[in-house]
Amino acid sequence: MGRAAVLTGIGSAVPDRVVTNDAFAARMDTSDEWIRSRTGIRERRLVEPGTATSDLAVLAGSRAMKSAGVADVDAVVLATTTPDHPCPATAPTVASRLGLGAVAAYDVAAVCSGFLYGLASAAGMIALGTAERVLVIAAEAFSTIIDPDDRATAPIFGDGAGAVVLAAGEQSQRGALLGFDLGSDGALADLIIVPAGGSRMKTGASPSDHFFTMRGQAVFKHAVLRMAESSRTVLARTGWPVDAVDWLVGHQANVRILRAVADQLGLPREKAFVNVERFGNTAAASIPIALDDAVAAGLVNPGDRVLLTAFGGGASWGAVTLEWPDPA
Amino acid sequence: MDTATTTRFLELFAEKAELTVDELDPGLTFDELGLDSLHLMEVALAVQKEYGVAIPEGDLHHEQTLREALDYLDARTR
Repeated sequence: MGRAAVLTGIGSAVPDRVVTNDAFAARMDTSDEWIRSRTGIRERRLVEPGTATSDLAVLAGSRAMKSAGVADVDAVVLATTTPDHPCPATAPTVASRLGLGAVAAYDVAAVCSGFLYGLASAAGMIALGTAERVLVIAAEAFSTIIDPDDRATAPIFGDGAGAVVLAAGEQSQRGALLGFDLGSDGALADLIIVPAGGSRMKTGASPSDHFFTMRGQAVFKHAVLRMAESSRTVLARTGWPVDAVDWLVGHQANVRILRAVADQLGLPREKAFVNVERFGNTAAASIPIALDDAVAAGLVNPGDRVLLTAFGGGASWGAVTLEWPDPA
Repeated sequence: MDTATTTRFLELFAEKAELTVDELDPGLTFDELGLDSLHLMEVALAVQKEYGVAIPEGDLHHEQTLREALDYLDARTR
């Protein structure tokens, strides 16, 4: 085993604008009760028009670097589904605005699994010696691809960003990323899709083709089964029995998915950290936002064994294990 | 027909819907019982975990009575 990637700092940023379920009930045929009972979501943060993914990413990135006590990194990896532009990648803009100089910077596109894919990519650079320190950011202005009048998706998603600093270190250190499992199944590409805007269909036949669509029930089933399986795989690789896990910090899509994953794993539901009620589903950003929130709330503490898992568009999924680090 | 497995399925419906077994009248449809589509998915996933049998999407649905769903699951897992 080569050198390890060690998490040394974390930060997050969400827009100031809070949108409650009642705001959706006033606009479409839904209700606070319906949204809460199906998803667990009470409110979410949404960007104002004109605010882009990079704006949130810069804030989260600078907070993560401050938390790590560092002023520079060797690379920036940005996981996002909603880049500022179709071309170029958003990471160089973020690196530049953070004053990081001519560092390597690129985007990772794995939708809701993007943060875990970003961690794996950054850990790979560290293992190769290409970088000593990497800023991994997951940021979404997800509401920009959501039809505001679609009751199936509009109440579910939120905007926000989370970031961590990974540094070269030893596998025995707290904070070292201990195990990875990543996977995908392109046969499920149509489960979660924005049909138009890419090379397959540049301009849609109708404006709705440019908005996000999701086959909710099928996503629910695949998400539960894949996150549980990926979690079991990464736990076996790490050498942790299920009952060694202190916290399951899963992609915050839906409280009922998180509970079902815990049930499948045989993990007490209380060990599944949940904050989807306040932020909605922030896609790639949800895991680092949840981690930062759980640490700030005093729930996740140094030495805690943390299992991260996500499922999202692609379909793609993953799981990562680490012991929570001591503060920098 | 009530078997040990039927009793277990009934417990799963009750657990996922956060109701007691006594509150579940098998003659009522899931709509009438107040179970939503995700409750049915949660039961299907729990059956898959415990019995190793996948329940295809849509095989449990709103218009079904609980009795029909129990008979279906009983046959499916036999």
